[in-house]
Amino acid sequence: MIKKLLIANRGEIAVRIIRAAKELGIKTVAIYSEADKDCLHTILADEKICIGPATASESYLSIPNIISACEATGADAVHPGYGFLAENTYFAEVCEACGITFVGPTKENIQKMGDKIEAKKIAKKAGVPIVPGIEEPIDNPDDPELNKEIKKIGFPLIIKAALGGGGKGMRIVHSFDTFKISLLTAMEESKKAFGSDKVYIEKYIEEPKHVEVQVLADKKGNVVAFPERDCSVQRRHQKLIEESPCPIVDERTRRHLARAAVKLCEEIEYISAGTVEFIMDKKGNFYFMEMNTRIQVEHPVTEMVSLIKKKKGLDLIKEQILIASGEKIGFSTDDISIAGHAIECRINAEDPDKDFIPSPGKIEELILPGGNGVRVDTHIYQGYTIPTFYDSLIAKLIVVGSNRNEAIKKMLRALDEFKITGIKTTIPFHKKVLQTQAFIEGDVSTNFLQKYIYEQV
Amino acid sequence: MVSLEELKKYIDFLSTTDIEELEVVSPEGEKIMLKRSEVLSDVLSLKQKKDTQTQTKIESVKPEQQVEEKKEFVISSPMVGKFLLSTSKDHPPFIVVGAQVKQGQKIAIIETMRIFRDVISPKNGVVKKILVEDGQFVEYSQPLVVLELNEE
Repeated sequence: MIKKLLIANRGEIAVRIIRAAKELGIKTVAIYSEADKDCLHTILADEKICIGPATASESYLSIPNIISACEATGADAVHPGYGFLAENTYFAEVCEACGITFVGPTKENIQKMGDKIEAKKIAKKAGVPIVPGIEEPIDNPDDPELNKEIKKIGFPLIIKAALGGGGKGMRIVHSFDTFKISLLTAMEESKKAFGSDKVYIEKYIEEPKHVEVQVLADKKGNVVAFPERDCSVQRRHQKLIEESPCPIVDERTRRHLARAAVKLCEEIEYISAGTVEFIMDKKGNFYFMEMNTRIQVEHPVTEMVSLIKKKKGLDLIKEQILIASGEKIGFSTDDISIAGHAIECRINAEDPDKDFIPSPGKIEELILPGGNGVRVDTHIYQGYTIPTFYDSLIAKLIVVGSNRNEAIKKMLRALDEFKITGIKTTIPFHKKVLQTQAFIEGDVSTNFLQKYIYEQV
Repeated sequence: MVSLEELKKYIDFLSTTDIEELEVVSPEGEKIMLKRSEVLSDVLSLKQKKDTQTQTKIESVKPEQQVEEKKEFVISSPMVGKFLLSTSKDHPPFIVVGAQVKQGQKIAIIETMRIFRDVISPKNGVVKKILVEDGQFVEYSQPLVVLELNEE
């Protein structure tokens, strides 16, 4: 069993991991940059060590500094959280070389799923449905064969960066006339953002839902898939609201989604927690998009809504730590059932009235919501100053109700209680979204904000 | 009749003493009352206090000034890693307590994962204290060495 875990992250996820480790009786080490001297994770951990200046590249992204911190504190394992080095193949490799247990997938898992084009090929091989498209990266934009192939796919189609996401290097093409120029600009943007102009092309599914499946796999070959999450409410490809289960998925589709996710994990011998992302059309047909080889921000949604026979509760971070220590997963996919409906709102320190501009600063007054079926994962406290150097997520508010309508009402009640002064937050924005008729009816696809919210502004 | 000159003499005399009131009677029986002004007496007594204060101040300034001249400077770690005072066991240490250090001089190495970073002194000074041991792990910006700065 792991004895001392170093958390190579900060903020709410570092707090989350420290809590899980403590409950398992494992000692914890928090790393922090100079800007995070007062961050909650440094207060909760058993030990803390300053690993660099505020800039992420010299602290949270500095592999030598983090490995050195492991050596200095005697940590025998590292949990990378999400973001930062969580999907950095080299970091996983260095940990292995230094005899430090990496709480996450293998470096091969990360590498294979890191390249979006390769990932699609592997998914196809595993029998997972993929979006019709061109499987090879575009080498020659002037290739005449290319024009033939894109006409076969049909319009609209989408150009995506192979090595990245978040909307960069992405272009939707509606007709043949604009194809060439869209391709060239997408390639250039991808080069600038990810260091590679490798792009791929696929059919564009209009008003799709973003549906994903949480998986867990141990070192003994057991794979488990959980009920799907619907993460369609996004702004610029960043998720804002997630829920489980997906309102339009029936039992049959749920089983197919789970089976597809498991097949992919078995194909690459995946280990630890991960998420298989699909794109779903209005008819419920789903296609593989990509796999995230890390624990995700929205993992609490699955924890809140999953009921496991014999075990009852679910703690995905604890499961990760146990898996990393060589333990077997103590349940199967069949043991999992859905207990109600869960929703998560990502609360960011941003001003929704000013195009979501970041709003760092000191939290003057803080009142956290609570009560039956309400969970808050956060690192903020009254008097805490949010630094300017990192992302703006300050809290995750998750609720679970016996059905979707109850969950929405509960979320609105909790959002009403949630008081933060001194900075601007997206709390009012979430209240607006949850009271939109379209959201209540479940008419939510990835263009939800443009369709229903921005029009009203 | 008391003349002005005589009056001035009495006034002068009064100012040199603590006497509050002075009654002068002339041979002719003329009485002149000289009373020290309250304001004046305050001023005079303050002056006396100040004089004693200045005296003690002069006495204490010297040792303080001596301490202020020697300012301290703390060199902190530029990295997380192992603090090394010399390149190897066979080599002498870069610094010892009492050594004179020049601005830009290498005073130690921090090693992490085979990456060696020089710790450079940004000032001229004398090593007053070495706060960490050779081979000890240090964190970023941890205080390493205290220098007593040379006079400018």
